Amino acid sequence: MRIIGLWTLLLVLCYALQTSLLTFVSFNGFSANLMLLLTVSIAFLRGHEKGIFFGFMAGLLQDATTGSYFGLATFSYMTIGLIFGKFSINLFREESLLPVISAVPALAIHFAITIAFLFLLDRPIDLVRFLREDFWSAAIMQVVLAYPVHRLIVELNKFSKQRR
Amino acid sequence: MSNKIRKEKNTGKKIIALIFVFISVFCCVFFAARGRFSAPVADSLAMTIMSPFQRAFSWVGGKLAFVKDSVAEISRIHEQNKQLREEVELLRAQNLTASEYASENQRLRNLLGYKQVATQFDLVAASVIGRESASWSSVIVINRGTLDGVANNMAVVTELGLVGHVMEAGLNSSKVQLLLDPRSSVGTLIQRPESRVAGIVEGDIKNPSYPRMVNIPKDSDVRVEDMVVTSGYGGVYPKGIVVGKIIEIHNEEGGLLKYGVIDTSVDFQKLEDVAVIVASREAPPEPIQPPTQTPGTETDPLETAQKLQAAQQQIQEAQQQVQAAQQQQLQEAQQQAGYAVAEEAAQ
Repeated sequence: MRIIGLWTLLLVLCYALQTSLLTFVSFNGFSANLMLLLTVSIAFLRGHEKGIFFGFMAGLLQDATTGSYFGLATFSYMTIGLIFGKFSINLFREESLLPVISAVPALAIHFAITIAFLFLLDRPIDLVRFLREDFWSAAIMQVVLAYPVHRLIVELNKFSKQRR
Repeated sequence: MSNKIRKEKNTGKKIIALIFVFISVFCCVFFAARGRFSAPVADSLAMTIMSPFQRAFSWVGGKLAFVKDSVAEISRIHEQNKQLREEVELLRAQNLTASEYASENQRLRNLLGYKQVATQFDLVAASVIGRESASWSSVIVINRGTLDGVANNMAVVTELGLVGHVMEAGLNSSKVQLLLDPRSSVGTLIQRPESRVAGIVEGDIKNPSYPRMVNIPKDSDVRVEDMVVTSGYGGVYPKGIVVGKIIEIHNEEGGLLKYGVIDTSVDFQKLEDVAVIVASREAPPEPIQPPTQTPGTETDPLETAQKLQAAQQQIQEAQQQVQAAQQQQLQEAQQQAGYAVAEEAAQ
């Protein structure tokens, strides 16, 4: 129960951090997405089931508080949890470089799902400008924060296993 | 075997549940976007849970932003201060340059004024570029030479008076021996019309700032405050250039002659711009000026001319009247004479 509380607290703190403090460091209106990094790291370390579950919870939290379309972030994070969780079987799970490298494709998938939904919902979006300017600034921030977030998750994961 | 079947069944259930969740969330997005689905309770609950944490992090973020802004402001002010200091330095330098130009402008204006007044001289303006400061000689270097028409033994002046003469003319610079040099001797005379005593002005090695006018007869009319000008004797210095004024008169040791100590009109310590007299001729006669009129009895030339014209007209009118009267008298006399002849003829 305490372990669940600890993970929940991590989720809430990281989301609060993402929506408050990290917004002070933003490029073209995009700030770092800690929920995405957490989902990728957990999916790598704990497999696709835990990845999907964490993605669901993180997405739900985001949709419930600041989401524009309810369920969009949930669906996206769940998909990312599934994809990167599937990869975790054949990889060294605690390899620190892996989530750093994965931060960019994870962000690309997240944006791809979001843009696909926006197209399906017939919402206008300047895709060229987004790919040329916004995506790379957001990707740089994700790469910078990927390593510390992954180390945090690795340590917390170890702690959880020890307690169990 | 039964465990394996149970595990496969669980996996199948999980996949179905997963697909169900995915489809549900997918549908949720569309329903929410169309406004047909909302979860106000979940939203408010999540926001209630999140708000204290967000507030705390926002406070920290606000403080960090304040610190960042303060640092940026301090950096900006520091940079601005540096720029302003540089600007002040630059403006001070410009101010100094402007003052220097103003001073030079004033000196050149004075020199130009002298050049316009002294029409009998052809002057070449020059700047002092060097000075020999030995006590036994007073020589300056000017930036004009033979290429500018300067030659040896030409007189050098300022608007205030005589400076010296060119002792060595180079191509583009010349050495000028000052009036103060002990080797210098200038033929001079007292400017006062009643005096006009001639003498020689030469530098005094004992008192380098004040040259002496020597060879003055003891009984000659020379006084303190008399102005000394060049006499034109010797051919080096043109006549009439101011040298200075006599401030002291002393007797020579022999007893037959006396000498005057001269305060030069040129301040040799502040000598910067001079003019070389490259040619001189007789001064043209000055235009006739109207005599000074006694105060209170001044007359206006125009008014005088008008009065004169009116008087001449009156004279002409009077003459005409006199002529008319004379003619009338003549006619009357002729008529009377005619009557008399006719009476005599009738009788």
